[in-house]
Amino acid sequence: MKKFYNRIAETALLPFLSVIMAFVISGLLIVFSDAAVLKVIGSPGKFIKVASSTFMNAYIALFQGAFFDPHLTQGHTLLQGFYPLSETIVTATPLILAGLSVSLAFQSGLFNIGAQGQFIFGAIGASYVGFHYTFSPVVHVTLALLAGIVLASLWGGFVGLLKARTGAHEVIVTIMMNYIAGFFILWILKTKSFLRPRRIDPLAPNIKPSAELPHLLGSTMRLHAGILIALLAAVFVWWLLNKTTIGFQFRAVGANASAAKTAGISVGVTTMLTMTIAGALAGLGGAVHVLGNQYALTSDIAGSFGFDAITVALLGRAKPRGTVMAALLFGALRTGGRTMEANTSTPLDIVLVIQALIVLFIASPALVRFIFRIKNLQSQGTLASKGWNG
Amino acid sequence: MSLELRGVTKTFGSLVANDNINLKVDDGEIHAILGENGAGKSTLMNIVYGLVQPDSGEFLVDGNPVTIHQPADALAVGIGMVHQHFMLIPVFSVLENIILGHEQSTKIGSLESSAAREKILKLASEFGFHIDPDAIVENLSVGVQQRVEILKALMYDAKILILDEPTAVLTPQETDEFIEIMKKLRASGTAIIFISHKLREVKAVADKITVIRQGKVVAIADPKSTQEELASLMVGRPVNLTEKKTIHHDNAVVVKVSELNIADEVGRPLVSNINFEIHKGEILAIAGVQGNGQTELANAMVNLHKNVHGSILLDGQEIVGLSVNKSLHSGIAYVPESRELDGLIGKFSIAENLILDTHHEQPFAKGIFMSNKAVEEEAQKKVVEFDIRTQSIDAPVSSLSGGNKQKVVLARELSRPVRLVVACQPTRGLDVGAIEFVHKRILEEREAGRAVLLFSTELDEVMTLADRIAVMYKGEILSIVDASATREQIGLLMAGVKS
Amino acid sequence: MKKSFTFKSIAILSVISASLIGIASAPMSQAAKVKACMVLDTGGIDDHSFNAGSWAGMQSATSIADVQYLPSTSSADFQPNIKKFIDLKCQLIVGVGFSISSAIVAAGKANPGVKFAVVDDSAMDCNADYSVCNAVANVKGLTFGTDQAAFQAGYLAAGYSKSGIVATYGGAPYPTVTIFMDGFAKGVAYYNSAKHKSVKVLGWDPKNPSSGTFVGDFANMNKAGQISSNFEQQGADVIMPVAGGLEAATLSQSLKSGKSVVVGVDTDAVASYPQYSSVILTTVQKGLGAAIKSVIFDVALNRFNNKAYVGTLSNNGVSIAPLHDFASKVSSRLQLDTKIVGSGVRSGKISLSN
Repeated sequence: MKKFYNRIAETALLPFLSVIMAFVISGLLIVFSDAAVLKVIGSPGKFIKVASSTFMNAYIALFQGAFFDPHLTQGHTLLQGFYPLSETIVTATPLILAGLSVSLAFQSGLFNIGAQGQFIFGAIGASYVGFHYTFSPVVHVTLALLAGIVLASLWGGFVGLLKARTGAHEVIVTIMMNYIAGFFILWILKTKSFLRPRRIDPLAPNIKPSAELPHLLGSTMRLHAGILIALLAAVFVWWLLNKTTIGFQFRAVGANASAAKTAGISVGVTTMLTMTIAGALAGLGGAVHVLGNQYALTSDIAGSFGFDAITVALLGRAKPRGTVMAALLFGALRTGGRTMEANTSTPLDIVLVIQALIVLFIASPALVRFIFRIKNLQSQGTLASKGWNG
Repeated sequence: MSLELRGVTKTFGSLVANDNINLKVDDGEIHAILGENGAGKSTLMNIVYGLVQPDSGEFLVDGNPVTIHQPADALAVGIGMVHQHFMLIPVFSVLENIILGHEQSTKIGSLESSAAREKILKLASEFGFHIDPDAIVENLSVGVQQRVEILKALMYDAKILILDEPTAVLTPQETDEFIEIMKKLRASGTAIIFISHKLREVKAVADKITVIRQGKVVAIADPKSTQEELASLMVGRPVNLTEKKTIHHDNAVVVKVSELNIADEVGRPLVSNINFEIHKGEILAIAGVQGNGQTELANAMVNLHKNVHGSILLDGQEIVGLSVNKSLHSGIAYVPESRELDGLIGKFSIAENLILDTHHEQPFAKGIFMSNKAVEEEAQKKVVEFDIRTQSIDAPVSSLSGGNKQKVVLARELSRPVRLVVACQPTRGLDVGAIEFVHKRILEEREAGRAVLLFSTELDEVMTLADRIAVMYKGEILSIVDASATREQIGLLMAGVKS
Repeated sequence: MKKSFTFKSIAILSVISASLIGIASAPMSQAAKVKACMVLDTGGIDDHSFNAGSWAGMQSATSIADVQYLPSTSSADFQPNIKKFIDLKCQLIVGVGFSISSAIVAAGKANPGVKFAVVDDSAMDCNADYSVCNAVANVKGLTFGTDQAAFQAGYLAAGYSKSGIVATYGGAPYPTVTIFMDGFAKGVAYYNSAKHKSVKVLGWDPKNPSSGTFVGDFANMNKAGQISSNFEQQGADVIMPVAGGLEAATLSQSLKSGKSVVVGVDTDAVASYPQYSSVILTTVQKGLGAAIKSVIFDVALNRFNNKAYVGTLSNNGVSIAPLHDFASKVSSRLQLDTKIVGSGVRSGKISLSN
C-alpha cells in the first residue's frame, strides 16, 4: 500500500502541484484585472472581500462549466446538470486521441509535431466517406472512421519513411507537413467534390446520419461514442507498448536507439511503424471529431487540437493514462472557461494562461520543488529533450 | 612537502565511501592507491582536492593542519590534480589552456602571456616535455594533452600531484614515457599520488602502495609483491590472474575475412584491406590504439556499419549485407564497445535487456504477443548462470555495476547458438573480479570450439587471452603476430612502426 | 512537507465541494430589457472589423437590451457557445460570420422559443442534398450588398488616382470578401466608361476570379504588407484591402511609403485606426451595427420576423464613410460625381449585375 502511494505520489505529484500553482497564479491575474476589485484597492477590508468573491466566483463558474451546473437541473432531471461534464468529455475526446499520437511517438523517441496535419487528414477522410457514400449505419460509421485512419496513417507514415530513408528530422518534416495539410484542406474544400452545394465558403456537406457516431446520453447531451473509441485507443496504446513485440521495439528504440540497433532491431522500420500508428491515432481524433461532433468539414476543423496534443502528452508524461487525464483536464478548462467568461466576464484567455502555467511548472520541477519544499520530485524534462535528440 | 590524512570518513546516505582512512605521502614519493571500482579511491582523491567535503578527518601539510574546502584551497597548499577526463578546451592553444582561470591583463588590456610562455618552456625542458605553447590542444595526441594537464598543475607550483588513472588512455610506448616523467617529477621533489588498477605499472613505479577496499585501507603493500598478491588484497580473496591457455588445435576455419574495406558516409576510407581467418577454438585479438578503425571493423562484423565492401564468410556463408538481426542470428555473439551506449538500454529492466535480440521469438513472443512469464523465466535462469548481482530482475539495468552490466550483455549474446564471439573492449572500466569473470567466460567459449575476435586496447588483456594478435594502425592491419610476440614488438606495431 | 501538502489538498477539496453546493448567481437585470447575446467568429473582439463592428451594434442597443458576447477560437466553439447562451436564457442570439450559419440554424430549429440572427449569411435550412433551402421561422439572415458601396468607392478611387492604377486584395476568396472586390472593380470600370479613361485595377478581375490576389488567411500581416508594397511598386496609388485586421498592414505600408492611400472596409477605418487617418481615403462601410440594432429592437417590440435582411445603399445598410482628412484633397467635382453614382445605384439606374 505504501509502495502504491509512493508510486502515485511520484508520478502524479508534480502535475498535481503544477495545476494547483497555475490556478493560484491565474487567480491573482483574474483578481487584479477585475475592474470591481481595482476600484476598491484602496481599502483593504473591502478589497479582500471583493477580491475573494471575484476569485471564488470565477473558479466556481469554471468548475460548474466543466463538470456540474446546478442551474441546469432547474426544471430538468439531475442528469441535465451534468451537461457540462458531457461537454468536457466531448472536447477532450479528439484531444485524447491526438495526445495519444504524440505520446506514442514520444515513447519511441520521436517528437511528433505533426498531429495537427494528421488530424486534418483523418477529418477529411471521415468527412468524405460520411457525406459522399450511403451505407447502413454501423457499416457507414466504421468505414468513415477507417477512411480517416488510413489517410492519416499514410500522412504520418510518410514522415517515418523520410526519416528512416534520409535521416530527415521528424520535427522539421512534421512542421512543414502541417502547413501542407492546412493549405490542402483549404484547397480541397473549394473543389466540387467537397464544396457544399449553394455555398462558396469552405464548408463540406454534413455527413449522412448513418455516419454519425451515436450519442450516449440522448439527444440533449452531445456526449457521443467517440469517448469510448478514445478510451479503447488508450488501452490499445498501453497494450501495444507493454504487451507486444512491436511496443517493445518502440520503447527500445525510444530509450536507446543505438542499443536497439546493436541488438538487431531495425530502427528504420520501427520509426516508420511508429509514425504510421501515431498518424492513425491523430487521424482517428479528426475522424471522431467530425463524425461525433462537427458533422461537417470546415477549414479550421483541427482548431488547435494537434498542438494542444503536444502539451497534453507532456503533461501526461507520454503515458496513455496520463494522456487521457491531461486531455480531460484541458477539455474541462476549455469548457469551463466558456462559462467563466459568460457568467463572470473573466476572459476565456485566462484558460490559456492556466494551461501555459501548468506546462511551465511541469517543465521546471526545481521551481515546484522549491515552492513546496519537496525533495525528491521526479523530473520529466528528459522526455522533451529525448524527442528533440531523436 | 608531505601530506597526511588522518581519520577521513565520508558517507553518502548509508554507503560508507571512506571509512577512517589514514594516508601519508612523503616528499618526493610516488604513492600508488590501488583499489577496485567503487572502493573509494576517487572519493578520497576528490576530498583531498577539495571537490568533496569529508564528514570527519584532518589534513596535515608538512605536519601543519590545513583546511581544504575547495580546489582553490588545495592549489594554495600545493596540491594539483590531473583528472582521468581532461579538463582542456580543445580549440584553445596549450598556452591559453594553461593560463585559463589565471588570466592577467597587460596595461593595454590584452592578455598577459609572455611570462607564462617562458615558464611553460622552462618546465617543459626541465621534464623533457616536447610542447609547443601555441599548438591547438585538439591537434595534440592524448599523451601530449596529458602533459599539458600536468604542466597546468606544475605552473601553479603543485608539490603534490594527484594522477587519476593516467595511463588508461595511453599506448604502451606512451605509458613507458609517462613512467619516466613520473620518475623525473619525483627526482625534482614532487610527490605523486598515483591512482591505477594496472598492477604492472603500479609495481613498476610506486614507492609505496596503499590498497583500499570497501572504503577502508586494507594494506600498505610493498611494490615488490607479486601481481597476484596485490590483486588478492584488492578484492579480498585469492585471485588467479594468469589464466591457463589450453592449446586447442583445430584447423577448421570459422571466419574468413577478405579484402574488407569500410568507408564513411562520403566515401572516405576508414578501414582498408582487412584479411584474416579465425579457426575453431582460436582467439584472434585485434590490438591497437583506440581510434585506428577497430570500432568500424567490429561494427562491420555484424553489419552495423554501412558502406562495407569485401567479404566476411562465416562457415562459408557470406554475411556482408545481411541485416543486423540476421547477422546476429547467423551465429555471432556481439559484445559492443560501450555497454551503456550500445549494449544495454539503461531504462529497461534486466529481464528486458536479456531479450533485446530475441524478444520476437518463441518462447518470448507468440505472434506479436509477448509472454512476460517466459521473459521472467529466462531472466531468472540467466541471473543465476551468469551470477548477475541484483535485487530483482525488474530493476533497471542502469542500477547495476559495470561488471554486472557486462554480465547481462554476455548472458544475452551467448544465449543464441554461437559460432563466433566478437568482443569489443570487454573489460573496459571493470574491476578485477569482473575482469576475471569475463576472461574466464571468453576462454570457455574458446574451449567450446568457438572462434573469438577480441578487440582490446589493453595490451595485458591481449597478451593474456590471444592465440594470435593482429595490430591495427590507421585502418589497416599492420601485421598478425603469434602470441609469443613480446610487448615491445606489439607496442611498436601499435605506434605504426612496421619492422 | 507532507503536512503542508495535506493541508493544501484539503483546502482545494473544500473549494471544490463548496462550488458543488453553492450557486454563483449573477443578479437578475430588470425584466423589461431584452437579453441579447452574440457569438463571435474567430478573430476575437478586437479585430477592428466585423466582430468589433457587430459588437458595436449590440452595444448601441444597451438602452433596451442587456448584451453579452462569447469569443470563438475555432468553429468547434460555435455550438457550445450558442448552447451556453440558450442556457443563460438569451432571447436573441446573434452569430457573426457565415461560418456559424449552420450551427445557428440547427440551434434555431431546436429552440423555437429563442430568436436568432446571423451576420453575413442568409441562414437557410437545407434538406439533405441541399436542393431545397428555406428560412427558419426564428432565424434571420443579415446580408450586405457591399458591392453597391464598393462600387462608389471604386469610382472615387479611380477618380482620385493620379497614376491611373488602383488595387485591391482579399484575405481569402470567400464570397463576403470577393463581393467588395467585385463592386470596387466595377466602380472603376464605370468611371472609365463615363470619363473615357483607362484606370487599371490590380488584384481582382470580375471576369477571372481565379486571378485575384489573396493573402490566404486573415492573420498574416507580413504577407499583407508585402502585397501592398508590391501593388505600390506596380504603380497603384489607391489600395482596398478586404482582409479584416490585415488592413493595418496596408495602412502602415502606405503611411511609411507615402505612395498610396487606402480604402478601408467594414467599419470606418478612421475610427478604428485614427493614427492612419492621413492615408485613409474612405471606407466601404457595412452597416453591421445598424442591422443588428434593428433586430434587437424588433425582438424588444415583439415584431421579429425571419425575412432576410439585405443591407443596401437605399436602406443605409451599406455606405461609404465621410472623407475626413480627404474632404479637402478630393475635388468637389469628384465628390459630387461619387454621390450621383451612389444615387444611380440606389435608384437602379446603374446596374451592378454585369
